[in-house]
Amino acid sequence: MMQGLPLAPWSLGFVAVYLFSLLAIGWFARSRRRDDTLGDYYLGGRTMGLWVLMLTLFATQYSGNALFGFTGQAYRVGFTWLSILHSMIAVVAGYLLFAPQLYRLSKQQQFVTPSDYIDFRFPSRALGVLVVLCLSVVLINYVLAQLKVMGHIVEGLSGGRVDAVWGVVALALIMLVYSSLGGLRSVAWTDAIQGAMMLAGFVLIAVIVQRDMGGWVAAFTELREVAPEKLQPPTGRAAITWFSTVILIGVGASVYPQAIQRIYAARSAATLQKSLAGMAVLPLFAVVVVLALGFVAIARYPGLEGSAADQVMALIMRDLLATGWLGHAVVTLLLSAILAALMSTADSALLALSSIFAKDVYRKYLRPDASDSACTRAGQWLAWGVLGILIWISTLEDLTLYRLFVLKFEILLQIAPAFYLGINFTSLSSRSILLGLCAGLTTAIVGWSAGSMPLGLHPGTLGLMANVLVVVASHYVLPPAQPAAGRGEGLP
Amino acid sequence: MSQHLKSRGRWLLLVLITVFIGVPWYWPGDRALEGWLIPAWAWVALGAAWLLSMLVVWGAMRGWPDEDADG
Repeated sequence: MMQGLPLAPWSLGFVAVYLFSLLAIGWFARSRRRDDTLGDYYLGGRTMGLWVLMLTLFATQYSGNALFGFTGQAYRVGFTWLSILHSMIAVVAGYLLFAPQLYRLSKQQQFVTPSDYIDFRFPSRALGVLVVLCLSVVLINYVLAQLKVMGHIVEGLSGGRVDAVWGVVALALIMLVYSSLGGLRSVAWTDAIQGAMMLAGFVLIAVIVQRDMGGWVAAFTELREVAPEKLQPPTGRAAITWFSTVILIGVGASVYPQAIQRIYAARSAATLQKSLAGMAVLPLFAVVVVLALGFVAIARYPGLEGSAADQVMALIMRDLLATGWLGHAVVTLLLSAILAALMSTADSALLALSSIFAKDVYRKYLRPDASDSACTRAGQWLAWGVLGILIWISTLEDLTLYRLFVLKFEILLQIAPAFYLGINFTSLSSRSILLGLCAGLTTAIVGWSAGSMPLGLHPGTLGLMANVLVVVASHYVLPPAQPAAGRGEGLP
Repeated sequence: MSQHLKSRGRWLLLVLITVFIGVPWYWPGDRALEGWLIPAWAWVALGAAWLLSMLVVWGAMRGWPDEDADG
């Protein structure tokens, strides 16, 4: 993906120092731990403040996918990919439909994992197991996508001297050490730093394109002459795909397990409110710059097909380097932020996976009497093992970034009704949600395997439609289910 | 709870309308590429995104349940 960049030694030195400083952050986060509870390790003691929460939510949503996948897709499909801007704002709109109630419940019930809410609201063993399986598949997919990009970047940074596999191993080691030391505190603090660096990089990149690379007006004028077909509005099937993308990403990304845990980790409802408000504004800048870069690249670097289009950001960086010291500084900043973003996104997912294993598998099924610290250790061991396997797999797969990005949403989307409908419709039973989840997963997986998009709808969106339809039908048609005693069915 | 749902229902309606405005299904094909710098329909989509963002900010800042209320 990323060809060798002619970086100066001081640039490489900065990137190296930055990466190792993450270890210091991990060490500092460890010193701030209050106790050995799962809540302290996996949720940072539920004390996350406004800026850290907003930037860690930002970093969770925008990673290697945002820079490489989004620019690549903008290059491939043109202006119809503007739908991603609406999608990223829709993510925050989605949060607002369940996060306020979920946050309140999490405080009262001391939730740690997304499954804790499911178990509380829908006390069904079958549903709980299925949700854990789905979340695990999604999180593994998420980590895998980040690892693939990490390897390519290290290979590019070193001019091919360091093999992608060894690059991934080195970065994964740094990532595991700092996240093991401080849990969510480390991850959120590193997220906040890289999120701020990435935003600064976007500002500077927009300035440099205007100042040193011919300007935005000239770039878009050239685009209109060279590739007018990429400027066409979506019509027919493409228009439905636009709508389907907003649903797929808007609803799917709002129930990322690691994002749900950040809702739990907020210091107060007011902190969460303000963070979400900030999150609604950030796409207007971050996504617009990324899309604009992908669009102007259509005319600047013609002829890239398929997964080769994911190289667009690397090509832009190469041109930025040629503009002088400021360009060099921006590329250095962006590369550091991108690497940190990939690592923090991967370790957020890994931390979520670890927490699910510790609380929803290890304590529930393997050692019900295990202490919190024993559960945390079990989760950490799982994280190390899973990461080792995924590093190996990352060298085998050959999917484009966007395909990896979509695949996880197909599954994640089917969990959404348990949150959206479960929070807002108090009489929904576990049975309805379970039947809907089965119908949704079947539709989405069959559709994805067939590789088809009937009427322009993604398989995940079709699955969600089937899911909701079955939930509603079973709720009204089937006789009332026997309520489970003593838990949250029928809440709030 | 029910009051909270009602207040969110109002802005949800607005959000959905805005999302649909951003979907340029209706844009006349022969005029789609007019517009300064980028096509007119893309300006409409960007404007709709801005509006959507402002609505979400508004929605985020109001109608939250009491943190300490009984579940």
